[in-house]
Amino acid sequence: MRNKPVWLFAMAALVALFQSSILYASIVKRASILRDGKDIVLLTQPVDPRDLMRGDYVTLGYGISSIKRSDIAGKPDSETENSNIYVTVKPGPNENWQFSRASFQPIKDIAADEIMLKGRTRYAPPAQPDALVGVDYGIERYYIPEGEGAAIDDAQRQQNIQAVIAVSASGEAQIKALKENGKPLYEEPLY
Amino acid sequence: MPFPISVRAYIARWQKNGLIDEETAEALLSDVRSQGRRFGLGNTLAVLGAVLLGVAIITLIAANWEAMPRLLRVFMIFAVIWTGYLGGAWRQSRGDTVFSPVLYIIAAIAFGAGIALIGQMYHLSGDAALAALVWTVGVMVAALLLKSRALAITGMAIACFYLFSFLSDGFYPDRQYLWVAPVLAALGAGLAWYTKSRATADLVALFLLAFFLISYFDLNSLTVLWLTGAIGLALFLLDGFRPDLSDRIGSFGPALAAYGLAATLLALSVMQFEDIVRDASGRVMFGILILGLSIGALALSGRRNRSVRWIAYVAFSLEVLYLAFVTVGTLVGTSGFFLTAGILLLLLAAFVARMERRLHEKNPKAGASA
Repeated sequence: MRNKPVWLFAMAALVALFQSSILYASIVKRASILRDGKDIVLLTQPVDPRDLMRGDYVTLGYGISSIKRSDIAGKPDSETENSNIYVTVKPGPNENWQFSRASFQPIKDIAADEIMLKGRTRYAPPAQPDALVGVDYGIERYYIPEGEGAAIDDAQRQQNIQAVIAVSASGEAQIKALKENGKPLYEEPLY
Repeated sequence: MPFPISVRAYIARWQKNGLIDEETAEALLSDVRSQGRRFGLGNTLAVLGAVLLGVAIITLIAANWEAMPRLLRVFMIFAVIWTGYLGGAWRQSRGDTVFSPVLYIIAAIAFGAGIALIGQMYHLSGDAALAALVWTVGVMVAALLLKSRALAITGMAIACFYLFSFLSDGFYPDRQYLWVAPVLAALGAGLAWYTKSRATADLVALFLLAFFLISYFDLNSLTVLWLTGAIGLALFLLDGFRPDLSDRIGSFGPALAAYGLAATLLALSVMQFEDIVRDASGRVMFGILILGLSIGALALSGRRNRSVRWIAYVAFSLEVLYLAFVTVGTLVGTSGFFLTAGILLLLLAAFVARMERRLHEKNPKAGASA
C-alpha cells in the first residue's frame, strides 16, 4: 500500500496539512483574541535594565506582574510547582487599568467594570504573606525592528509606555498596541 | 554480534576460506544490501546541505521581516513546508534516496521555523520548551505517516533540543519534561522500530541518558541515580545472562545492554562525584564498584558485545587514573604524578590490548572461562 505513489503523496499532503494547521491555528487564535477580546490599557514598568533588551524584543513588565501573596485568594494547585492565577483589573485614573484582585481559582463574580486575566506564577508560589509573586500573562515580550529597542527602553524607564491588551473571555491576553504618552507607537494588525 | 568490520568483508573472507559457497554469499550480500545502505559521505553531505539550506531560509525570512508583510512571510513558510513534503514524496516515489530525505528535513526545519517566526511576529511570549515540544511531535507524526528514517532521526534530534531547552531556561517555567521526556523516548523507540532506523534508536538511548542526568541535577535526588543505575544494570544483565532473549531483537539487544552498562557506570561516577563534593569517604567504595562492574562486564559479555567491551575499558581506565590521582597524586609531586600516570596508562594499554586479543579473536564457543 505504502509503495504506491498515490498513498505516499496523500501522506505527504497530510503531513504538510497537519503542520500548516498547527501554525495557522496559533495565528487565528491570536487574531480572534485581538478581534473579539475586550481592551484594557496597562502602564508598563521598567524591568531589570540589564534584562530589558535581549535579541530583538523588549521585555514588558506590568503592575500586575508582581502581586503580594496576601492579596491572592484561594489555594494554589500545587505548593511546589508553578500555578495558574487569575487576576482582575479595573479602570483607574488617567485611563490606565489597575490591579483589582487575584485568586488561584477562576474568579466567578467579576464586576461589570472588571476584566479577568489568566496568568501563571513564575515560580512555585511562596508561603510568606508579604512575599511578591511573579506572574506571567504571555504579554511580556514585544518583538521590534532591529535597532529600535533602545528608544522604547528609555521611554519605558520614564514610565511612558502603555500597552493596549486584548483579553478574551477566558482571560487569555495578547498585545494589541503600544503607546507612548497616549500616542500610538506600534499597532498590531490582525494577521 | 555487532560487526566491527564491514559485513561485506566478512562474507568475502568466508567465501574465500570456503566456509560458504557463492550462492550463500550472494544471498547474504543481497540481504545486507536490503537492510539499508550505509550512511555514506554523499548522504551525509546532502543532509548537512539540507540543514544549512533550511537555516538559510529561516534567517532570510527572519532578517527581512520588516520588508515583507507578515502574511507573505507566513505564506513562504507554508510554501516551504508543502514543497518539502510533496517534493520529498515525489523523489521517494522515483526511488531517489538522497533528495527525498533532504526535502523532508528541509520541510521539518521550516515547520520549526514557522513556530518560531509566528511567535516572533505575533508577540506570543510562550516558553521555548513548549514550542520545541510542538515541533518535536509535529516532526514525529510526519516520520510516522511517511515512514521516513530521516524524519525519525530529525524528530529525535529535536526531542534532544526540547530537553536541553529546559537546561538553558533554568527549568523555568515547569518541570513538565519529567513526564514528557519518557513519552518522547517511547515514541522515538516506536519510530526507530517502525522505520528500522538504528540511528534513531541510538539517539533515543542518548536522549534517555541525558534525561536521567538532567533530572538528577534538577531534582538533586539520589533516587534518580539509583533508579538509573538499577534500570541500566537490569538491561545489561538481561543481555549478559540471557543472550538468547536479547538476540531476538537483533542487534538492538546488545546495544541496549551497552547503553545500560553506560547508564549504570555514569550513575556510579556521578555518585562518586557527589561524594567528593560532600567530602564523604565513600570514594574508594564507589571506585571499587566501578572497577568491579567494568571487570565483571568484560567477563560476562565482553566476548560477544563489542560496545560493552569498550565502555568497560573506558570506565576502568578513567577510574584507575582517577583513583591514582586522589590517592597517589596527593602524596607525590607533579613530576611524580606524571610518572605514575604514564606508567598506569601504559599498563592500561597493555591490559586493553591483552583483553582485546583474548575476547575478540577467540571464537565464542571456545571455552566459557577463558
